[in-house]
Amino acid sequence: MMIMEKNKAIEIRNLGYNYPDGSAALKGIDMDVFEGECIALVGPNGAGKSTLILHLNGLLFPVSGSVRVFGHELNEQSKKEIRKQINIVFQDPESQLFSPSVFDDVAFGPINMGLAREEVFARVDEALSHVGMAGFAHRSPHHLSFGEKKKVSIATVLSMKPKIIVLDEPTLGLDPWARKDFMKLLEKLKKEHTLVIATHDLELLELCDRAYMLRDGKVEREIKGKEEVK
Amino acid sequence: MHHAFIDKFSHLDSPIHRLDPRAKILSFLFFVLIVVLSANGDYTAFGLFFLLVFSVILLSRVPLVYVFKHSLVVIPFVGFVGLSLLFKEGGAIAFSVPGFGFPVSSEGLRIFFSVLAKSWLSVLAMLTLVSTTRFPALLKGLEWFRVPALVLMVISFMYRYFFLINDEMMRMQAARDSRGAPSKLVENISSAGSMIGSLFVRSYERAESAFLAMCARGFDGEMKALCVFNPGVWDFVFIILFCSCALVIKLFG
Repeated sequence: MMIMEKNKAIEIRNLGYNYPDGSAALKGIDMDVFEGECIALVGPNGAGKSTLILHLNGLLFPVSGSVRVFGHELNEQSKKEIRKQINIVFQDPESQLFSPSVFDDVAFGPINMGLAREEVFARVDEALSHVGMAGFAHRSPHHLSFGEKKKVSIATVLSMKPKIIVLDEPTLGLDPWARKDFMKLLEKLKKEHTLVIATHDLELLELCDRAYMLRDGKVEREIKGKEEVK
Repeated sequence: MHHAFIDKFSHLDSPIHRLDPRAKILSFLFFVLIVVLSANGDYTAFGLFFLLVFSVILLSRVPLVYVFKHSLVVIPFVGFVGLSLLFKEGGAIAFSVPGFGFPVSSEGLRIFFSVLAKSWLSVLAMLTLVSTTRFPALLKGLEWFRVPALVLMVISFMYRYFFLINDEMMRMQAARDSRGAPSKLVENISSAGSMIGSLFVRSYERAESAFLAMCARGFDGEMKALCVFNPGVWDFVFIILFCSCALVIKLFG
């Protein structure tokens, strides 16, 4: 009952999406994410996890159904505002980090939000130290290790101070040492944000409160409660 | 894989590195302009121009061998393009090409060597600029000088993704070679073709996903960068000293 009293952070109703070639990618997805929750999206490759993620901040729009973020329907007009509330950390840090320096990348979101100069600097500093990468601002992304790139990727989103963070396969490709470090960071993030994590990682699943199992573009089942997730 | 880019030594610390990027861009571009405008065959001036850049390189602590080695890259290109200058009419005939009898004039020689010297000096200046300025700072300096944002965006993505694409190619090559590809270049042409093809597709996909990541963080088609400049007295001193030296050499060299 506790959970019902919380605000709905994301509400997806009957979401349908077709690939440009016409084949159905998502077929009537229903999903609720409450504020402060950590939700996992699991399922085999090609189940539609990444496509679903792109719908969460208006990078794709549904063919049918709707996505609501904090009660506001996501559409062309509202996407700019909603992107300040919910943001995505993509799977491949080489795509997430596209600027010539770490600073430029972390500052990219805040600058686009139209923040004042001092505020941008403050946010970059804060985001980088939050992920343990303070002092890397002037490094070039292609000189960072994979684990460092992953952490900076999170900082690029943290600097926008979203309430919800969506992570696509965050631990994929990390070595056991970088992974351990990264898991601590995710636990820290969990305390302050609503998280949606697409993953195959069993250890990461234990961090999540609930999970949605996707298969063939549909929600196959909802896994409620930490015990069942395990 | 780790690569060093052209701005390999831009992270050193020296009086030249500490200068405002705009001061360096302005001074070195002025230098190139003056060098290009100086009279052909004025070898004293060329020598003095060289001394001017040389002293800046010394101050910057960028390894001399690195700068000189890389500056020579331009010589074959300019040399090849400038070959026809040798046969320009005018002045005494210096010598004839053995076996063909084409006359090479002394005037032609003078222009040929002047063009070589000028282009080499210009490249030297540009290398010094790039080796003493961090690439992002250089881009921001250029932005301040109103270089079109689209051009800067292309350069910035090139800087970010060039080595990634290079790495991908090296991995594909390794995968091909480890499966016993023929060692002769000619026999490899068909596989090279498909490698280039898949590299193109991968780069295209990369561009798409990077674009999505940009949109997710509020990109609306306009690149807004934050320029941080802290100009000081030394920047003005450098501009005035460097430019006036170049001007004096041009006028009285």
